[in-house]
Amino acid sequence: MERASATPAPQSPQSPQPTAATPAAAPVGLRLADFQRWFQTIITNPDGLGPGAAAARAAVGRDDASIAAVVTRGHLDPAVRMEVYRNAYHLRLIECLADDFPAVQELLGKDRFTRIARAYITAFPSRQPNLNRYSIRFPDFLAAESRQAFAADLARLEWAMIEAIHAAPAEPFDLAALQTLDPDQWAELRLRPAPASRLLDLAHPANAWFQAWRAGQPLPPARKGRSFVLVYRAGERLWRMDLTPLTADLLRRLFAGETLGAAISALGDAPDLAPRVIRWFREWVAGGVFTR
Amino acid sequence: MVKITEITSRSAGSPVTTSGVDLRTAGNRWHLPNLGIGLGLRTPHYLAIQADWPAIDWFEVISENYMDTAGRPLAVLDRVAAHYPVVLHGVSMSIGSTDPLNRDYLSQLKTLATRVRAPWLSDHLCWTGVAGTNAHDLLPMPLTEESMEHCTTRVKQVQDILERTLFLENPSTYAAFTDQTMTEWEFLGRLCEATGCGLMLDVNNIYVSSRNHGFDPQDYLDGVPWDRVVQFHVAGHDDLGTHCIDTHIGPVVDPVWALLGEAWHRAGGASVLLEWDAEIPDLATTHREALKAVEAITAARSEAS
Ligand SMILES: [Fe+2]
Repeated sequence: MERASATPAPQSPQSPQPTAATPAAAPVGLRLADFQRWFQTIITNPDGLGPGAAAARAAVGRDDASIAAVVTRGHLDPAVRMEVYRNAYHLRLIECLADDFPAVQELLGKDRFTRIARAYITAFPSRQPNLNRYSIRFPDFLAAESRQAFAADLARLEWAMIEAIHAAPAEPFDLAALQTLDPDQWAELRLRPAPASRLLDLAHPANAWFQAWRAGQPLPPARKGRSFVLVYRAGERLWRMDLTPLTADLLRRLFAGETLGAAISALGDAPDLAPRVIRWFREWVAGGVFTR
Repeated sequence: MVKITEITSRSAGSPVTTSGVDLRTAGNRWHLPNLGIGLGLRTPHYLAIQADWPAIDWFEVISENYMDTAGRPLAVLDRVAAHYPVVLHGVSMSIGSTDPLNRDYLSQLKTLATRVRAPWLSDHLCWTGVAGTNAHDLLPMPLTEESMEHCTTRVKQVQDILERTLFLENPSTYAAFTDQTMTEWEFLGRLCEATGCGLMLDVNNIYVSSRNHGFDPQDYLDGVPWDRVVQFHVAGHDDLGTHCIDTHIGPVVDPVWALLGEAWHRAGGASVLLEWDAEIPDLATTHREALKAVEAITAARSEAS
């Protein structure tokens, strides 16, 4: 998701345990590197200021580096001050995940989604200057840590859409050039997927659920059932296309670099297969699914 | 420096003069232009902007949102940069961190600045993480001699790598530290002097920090090296009574407009930009809020005379 320079506000009035009032605040004399480790240890702690502060004192090996000793009091409790940062750190990354996976949040409900997001943030702190790829491990995390198999597939679909948005543009394979080919050349044709094209093989009908949610229709049950979805970008518009097992197999072979002839003959010889293949194929080419 | 004449011609967004005030005058020592009154470029406005390229003076973009992407964000940015001046504003340089500078980030930033022909670029006086972690927050520096020395070295390195003057913004802060030996305005003034860097002054952040730490914003303004201010930020914030949170939501409050007016004249004129980052209204509403700067600048002038 996109980054801004704003500070997220606390969602509920915060009341961290007040720090013990100390008389005059004397300098603690932490070196800058220690100070930064101390501060980061506190604000990234998922369990609260208390555990964070204990971990921070241990991290810099200074028993006297309490929040009250390091942070100036003024008219506000130092704990309130540090809680603004601790809260903002977690909220911003939760917002990032919620922004990237709105359908997953809808499916799980905000509370459960937020709980899982907090666990993800603790497991995978960001190590990049931007948040564009921060969520990349979230689908697998949902599957592994939270046994949310349907949500994980829905997240895979949403992540494929984000990747498609960020993928490089590519010269689409040209439909006009296709018309001039003779049948032998057709069979020998190899096509490459455009950088934005994604073929998903899912254990749940995630796209049907996503489609209903997007359209504001009654949500189907989150049940099992293999599904295939093609995500692609035509110009700057994203498309999602449910595929039958047969078309998904064809596309998988083409994406893997098989010639058109080899991919089609691998489909067997169902009646009227050829005209159907040509129809799908034209639709994909027209949508920019392939590049030269 | 970018030639503003290269920008596709269009009608001006904000008035060039009002009540005898030349709104495009610029007092900075680098003779960087006063671009007028701009908006932060935000995704919810992408369609409205591209629909008819409305008369908005200029845009500021968060640099990081256009890195590690080759797709739609960059395509939109290219088109916006063909129609408007675009300034880069970063949140991850982490100038105050004790981690090594991220060279790869800096080289991406340099490429992006060239791509959009940015007349200047800015980041914050802050650190964003250590030990390889990015907290994606503008974390406060302890304002000590050690920090001063550290930031001085880093700003010089960054300016050498980018081959540009770096403009630093004063962040909103919620905590100060018992080790502190100077005020933020002293720190920034000395840093500018030592490195040749400039300032991007956020008057909302001055207000928010003054409420959080109990200083007088006038003392802050008295300490600013005005010929180094190239740009202002204004924004909305959450007022919790005891302290303020820099949420960039909602209209700019009157005391912040008053600070802008005064600061603008003290600087001898500089570009103004509205940041609105959540619960973002439509483009026209956002732009109307930004254009209140004209009144603020005019009002401050009549008070001064
Ligand atoms: Fe700002």
